[in-house]
Amino acid sequence: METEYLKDIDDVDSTELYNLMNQYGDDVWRYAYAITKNKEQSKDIAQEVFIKVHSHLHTYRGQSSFKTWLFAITRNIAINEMRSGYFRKVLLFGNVRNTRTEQSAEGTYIGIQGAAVIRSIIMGLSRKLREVLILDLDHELTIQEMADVLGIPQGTVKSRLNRARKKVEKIWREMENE
Amino acid sequence: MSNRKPSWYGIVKENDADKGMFTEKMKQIVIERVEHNRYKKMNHAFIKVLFPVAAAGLMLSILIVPLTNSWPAIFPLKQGGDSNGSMSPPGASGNDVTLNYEPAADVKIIPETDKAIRRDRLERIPLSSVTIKEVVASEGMGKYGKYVEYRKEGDPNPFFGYDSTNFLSSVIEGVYEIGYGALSDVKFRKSDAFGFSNVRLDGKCGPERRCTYWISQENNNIIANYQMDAATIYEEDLDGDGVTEAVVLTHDQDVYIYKNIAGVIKSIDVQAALQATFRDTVTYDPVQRTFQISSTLESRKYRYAAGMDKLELLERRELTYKGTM
Repeated sequence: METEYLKDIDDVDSTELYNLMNQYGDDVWRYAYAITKNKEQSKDIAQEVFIKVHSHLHTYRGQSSFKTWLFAITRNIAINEMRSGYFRKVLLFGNVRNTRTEQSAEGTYIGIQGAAVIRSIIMGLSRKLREVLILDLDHELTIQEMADVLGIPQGTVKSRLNRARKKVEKIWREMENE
Repeated sequence: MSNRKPSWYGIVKENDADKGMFTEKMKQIVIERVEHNRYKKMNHAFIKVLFPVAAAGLMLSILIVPLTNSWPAIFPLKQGGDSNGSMSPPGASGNDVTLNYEPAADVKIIPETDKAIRRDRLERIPLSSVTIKEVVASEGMGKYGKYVEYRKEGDPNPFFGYDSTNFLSSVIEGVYEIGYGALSDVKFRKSDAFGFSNVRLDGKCGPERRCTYWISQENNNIIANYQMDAATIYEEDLDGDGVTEAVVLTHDQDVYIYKNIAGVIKSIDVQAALQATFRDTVTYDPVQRTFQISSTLESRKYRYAAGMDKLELLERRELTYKGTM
């Protein structure tokens, strides 16, 4: 779907918003997940992003690609919510423990699958490295776009991306040799 | 850095298991919230801008029209009685409203719109196993206990819990773990909600969101009953049976009543019970203990019936045409 027109309008109706969610919903969720490492929290964040898009579309004036703008909102919401301890899902100790057991079992099961192993390695990286790698791998943002979303210089993006890739390769190699 | 993508990028992208994570249900929730906000804004705009204009026009017609023809000289505000006008009243039209309380749904993951109160037994963990980051004591020298935020080794998430030596004595210093995350602007209160001897702990748990924990002791266990969107809480014995209910206003000003029914805390969405639409506003008056549903055309006021799960209609107020042609 062409999104160029969004910079010229102040509001979208429910149908257009639905189309935007169809187009970008999974991307937003995945990016939120890359930041939070919490699937349920990422669902909330992704929904919040589109509510913000609806109420703040008038502030988008094509200064970046729409996806970059969307990701900047996602990042702001995700980091704010992590800071304020937004944890309303899977909250209590029993649930937390159960969740971890499931994740652990799941992790063992998918350990034999290459893609899943790499994903788990990526998710094990520090947030700074993980985030830049996901933006590159999953969302194919340019270095400039990543710098815009993350609010850091292009050189820093390149350096983090390089470190992230090398780290993944190193750990993956080690795991294969085990 | 080389722009060439590593070969393993392809493996990961080909096996992408995260498609469809933004589900139809999530989209629906977003649309509903956007529509809700839109109607709220419209109502707000009506009250702020259109209503004064309409009122001024009305006053003008009262002054001018009687001089020119036999149109009404007044549009009185009629109190009581049923509406005979053609304008739609807000919500349900019946006099009394039966409240059908619902237990919390049995779901592992709490949906966005779910406002149920759930309960869990808190486990005590030794303080020696964690690194304490923050302690907030209740006023009055820790009378109601302490909020404790801490980290566990090897876990990036913050955790928080409740520390009290009032409930159970223990030789090991410990904290009753509530879960991961953290609260800010923490407040403690004594509470007898739901007939338990409670401490009520609440705090900001996200943007525009407060979470509340009613903590009590039952059979040597520490129990937390929790609600995760309680911007304002009133604890009242609404039905006069000696057990306190909780009336909760969410951040979006939705109104819920929570009641202990045979040991289970069940809830009722007052908006839904009154069949309020997005155009209607439902409010709770803690002084009068009344619930009111209002549109721009009519308002109805209800009070909880004594000994029954029912809202009794106290007053209907509407703006009706009254005059001669």
